[in-house]
Amino acid sequence: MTTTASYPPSRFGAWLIAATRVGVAFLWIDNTSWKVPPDFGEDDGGSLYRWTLLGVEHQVLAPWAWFVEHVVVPNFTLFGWAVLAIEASLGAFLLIGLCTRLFALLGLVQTLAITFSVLNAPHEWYWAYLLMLLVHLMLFATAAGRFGGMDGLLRPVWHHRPGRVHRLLEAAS
Amino acid sequence: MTGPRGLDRAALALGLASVASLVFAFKGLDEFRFIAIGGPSIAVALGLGALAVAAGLTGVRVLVLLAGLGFAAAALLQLIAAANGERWLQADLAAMSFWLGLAVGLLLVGASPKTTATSEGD
Repeated sequence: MTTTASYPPSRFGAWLIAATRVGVAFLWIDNTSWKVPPDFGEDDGGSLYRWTLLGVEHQVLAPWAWFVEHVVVPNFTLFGWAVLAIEASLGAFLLIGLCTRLFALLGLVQTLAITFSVLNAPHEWYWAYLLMLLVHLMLFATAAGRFGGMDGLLRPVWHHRPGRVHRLLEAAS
Repeated sequence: MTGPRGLDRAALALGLASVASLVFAFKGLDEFRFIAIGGPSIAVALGLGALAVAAGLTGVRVLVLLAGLGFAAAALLQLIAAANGERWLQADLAAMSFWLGLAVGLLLVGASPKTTATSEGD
């Protein structure tokens, strides 16, 4: 005997998925506020620069510490702009639920990068990073942008249009 | 729901989100003040938000596009201000990220065709 289950389980469940997505978006939005260009803290040893160096001073993973010390720090301005672009986009796209599965994966990768940098730093709570990883997995698994998000509105439009771009957008959502 | 009404409702929701962001003008939120807005950025949130709401209610796509372009311009202006150590809009980079999301959403709605399609997950 096979059983089927409706998905999402209820209208309330769909709202909860949307609320979780928007909540995670606001965490990333909030996190962009202190990544201030053009030096990102390099001039006064604070802000993003300070947090980046923690990956070397309180090493979590040796290859990551080497990468930060020999690749990131010598090119810190470029790295700072990349972090700002990634985190601002994570906030923006998760907020409106556009290409949500792609951005959930990007959020997962960015969370891993942050984890490898600061997990062993003083006063850090490892649960915070585990929870960040798990919530992005949940956003990916539920395709959270299809509930109260742009993905839910635009997927049918993309589905009926030809071309590689529309197939990619469908996959990303 | 997808189709013209669904997309109009999306524009309406994005406009209302902008208006609702005025709650972050309240400094008493402390660590829950995810976005810093004040002064001119209040006018941005209220004015462009109201435009998006009006666009959603009337279904006039040109207004949706205008609201989207307005938020994109505000986000770019905030980025330039932050990079130059200025606070022209009395906002922060979190506001830039928020406005970027509203801009992308509204521009997509504004550029979408007024045709209906079968929806999924809604």
